[in-house]
Amino acid sequence: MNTSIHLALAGNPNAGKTTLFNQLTGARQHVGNYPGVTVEKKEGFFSHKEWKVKVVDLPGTYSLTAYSVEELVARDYLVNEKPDVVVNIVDAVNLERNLYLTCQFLELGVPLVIALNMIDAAEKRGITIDATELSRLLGVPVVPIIARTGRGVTELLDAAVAVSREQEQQQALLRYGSDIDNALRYFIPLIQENSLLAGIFPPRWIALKILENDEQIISRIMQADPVTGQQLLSRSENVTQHLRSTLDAYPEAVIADHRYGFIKSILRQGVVARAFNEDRLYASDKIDKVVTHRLLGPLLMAAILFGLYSFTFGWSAFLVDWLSLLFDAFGRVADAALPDGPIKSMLIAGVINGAGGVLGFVPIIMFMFFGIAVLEDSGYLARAAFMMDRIFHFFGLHGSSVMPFIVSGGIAGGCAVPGVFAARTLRSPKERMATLLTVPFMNCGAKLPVLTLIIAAFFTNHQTEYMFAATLLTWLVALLAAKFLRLTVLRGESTPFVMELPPYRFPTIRGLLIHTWERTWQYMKKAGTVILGISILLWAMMTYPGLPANQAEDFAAMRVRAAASPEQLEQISQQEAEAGLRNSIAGRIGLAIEPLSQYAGFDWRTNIALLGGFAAKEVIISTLGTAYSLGETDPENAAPLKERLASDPHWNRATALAFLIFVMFYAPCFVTVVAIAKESGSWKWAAFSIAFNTSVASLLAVTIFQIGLLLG
Amino acid sequence: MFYCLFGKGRGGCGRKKMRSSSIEMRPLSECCGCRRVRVCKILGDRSICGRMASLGVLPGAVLEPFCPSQGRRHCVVKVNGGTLSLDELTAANIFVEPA
Repeated sequence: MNTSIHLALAGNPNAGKTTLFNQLTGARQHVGNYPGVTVEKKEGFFSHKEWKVKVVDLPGTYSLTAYSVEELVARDYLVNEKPDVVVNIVDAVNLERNLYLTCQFLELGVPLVIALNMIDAAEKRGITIDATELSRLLGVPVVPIIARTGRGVTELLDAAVAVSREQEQQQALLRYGSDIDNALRYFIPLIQENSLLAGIFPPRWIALKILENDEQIISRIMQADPVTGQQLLSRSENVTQHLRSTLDAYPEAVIADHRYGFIKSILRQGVVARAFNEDRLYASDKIDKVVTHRLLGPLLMAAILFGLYSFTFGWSAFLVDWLSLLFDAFGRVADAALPDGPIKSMLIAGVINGAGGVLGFVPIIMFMFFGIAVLEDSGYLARAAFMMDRIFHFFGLHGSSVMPFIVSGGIAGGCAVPGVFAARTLRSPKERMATLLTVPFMNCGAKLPVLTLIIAAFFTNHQTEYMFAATLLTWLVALLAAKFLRLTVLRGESTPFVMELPPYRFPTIRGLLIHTWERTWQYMKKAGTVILGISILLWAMMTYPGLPANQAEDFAAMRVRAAASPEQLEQISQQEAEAGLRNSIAGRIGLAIEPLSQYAGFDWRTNIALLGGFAAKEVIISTLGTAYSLGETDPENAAPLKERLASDPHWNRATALAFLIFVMFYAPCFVTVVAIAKESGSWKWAAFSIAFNTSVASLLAVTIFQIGLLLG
Repeated sequence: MFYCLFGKGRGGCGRKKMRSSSIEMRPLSECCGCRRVRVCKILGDRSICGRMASLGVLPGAVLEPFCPSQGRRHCVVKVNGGTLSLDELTAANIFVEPA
């Protein structure tokens, strides 16, 4: 007997899918993307009794019509992968809205079980739901659960297993009024006779999607059979014209109206009983009165962001110190155990200093992600998006741009790569492009260690304030850049913003830890693979070809002459190391651009680090570390990079500030550039982003450095 | 099985086109202070109308404006038990009457 089950979790956004997914799989989950798109795909495995279950957390959707990428992905997964059972998570507090998607699952004829989630929250609001009656009326099992605590999950899985073993699934057939029903009666035989999309979608469902003007279905039909497709479209157009002239509504509105009517008719048959008046303001509404208030809301949002920074940098400090000590210890062990030579140099300067410099910031990233997860899971981020929408519209962006900005590091600590991909949810091409091009300005997790290092070295007494100011500045520059783009190369109309505000909820510790770990692990994997490789490559670029033979002989002769003086010997070694670095491949590039970069206060070593930063921003630190360690007489006993920079004659506060600004705004890392090229469909825009961002960064850095020089 | 459902009892003002011209309709963006309103008509792009319909904002639906900022043209409305935030442009395209 086959004991494996393929289960898909589906439902509205904020219905509790991910909470249930985490409850079922714990840490046994894998996060990736759906093929060809960048919507996150979560897969996990668990056992239930004798069954081995593969579970997939589908993206949250309100319907199965192609209004968004998420809806397309969820629908395609259900029809292409054909899971053995679909668990539709329904928010018991918001039953009417959630059952709208359920109607479409019933029409699609998927093997369905309804998980009536947050039944405790519904009870607190005085809502009693008769699950048995609801199950009887819908014709599918309905199991009340509380995903946060796991209550009812065993019963839900029992029901899911039973449904997955059933051979036949019945397709629900809703009536949509005479106009639509007559059209369906015309469409269905035509679809069946011509086997349009046969075996993929039920004929009645295809007919409904044609009437709903579903672009993907229509396109597939036109590809499969243009003649029949045209016949169907022509009739659909007649129905649309008729409904527009009589009801002043499109067919999809009439269809939605009947679906909601069906839901209401079910709920009124003794399924839902309310103890309180429906007009009552609940805690969530009362909180919103304050949190989204025109004056109080932004103040509260600034305070929350500042609190997030204090939490991140204050609470993670002791872990950062511990990791720093750990990597120092690794360096000492390698120094004692290995003979002098290129391998030892590579291991200490390239691997330990490089990867250690990046991994040492894992605690900061981890605390930051934890803070973001709290805001996300509590429902606050949606309010932040709502409040930011007016501002975004003013700058020619869309309210939905907030999420790509936040993901990219709007609340510092994100990554521009998923941020670029998150911009896919934007429908308007120009707003999407403006978002794609400006999200790399945000302070991603990779820039954070650089900012932290420089601020700690040069602005020690005001670290939190400087970090906070850096975040505000990134927003300002990004928004101004967006406005500039929308007034010039991306001129065009704005599109509307519609978003559901989920009720405020207490996040679960389990959910927060899983979210934090997932994101931190992704950062660590990046640091441990790509960054380590680049760090070694850069070490090689900074080590080879080394000094020419005649110069090496000159230094050897100088060393013999100064044998009696340890101070002179140290000086000679420093000069030799610096000469070696200058002669390296990276040194030559850094030197070549120094005549230009000096206007921003950057010497050739800084240039090398910034070049490395194009590969990945984290590399800036490891490159600076390697560059300055190689310049020391004894690299293994070099002072920490922070102190080294603070004491370097080439660095002062003006240089540090110009460097900070340049790092924040210059060309995105190459992974982001590739993502922009992929998402925009053109390398022209990728090249534009490199040139545009570097121009903005150069302008700002030079201005700041020159002002700094004038002010002394 | 066939379900019989005709949205009976909803009595939307947009249900009969002739009726919508005889009543006082206002854009939702001007109704933040209203207690309950009924959607009469939604203007704009077809896909936006379709998306709004799937969220329950369709002719005949009753909305409960909930505008925390009191006067902000961005609207928050409660519909079908959920809370939706709408920008000024969207709210201006939804014509409503007192419910």
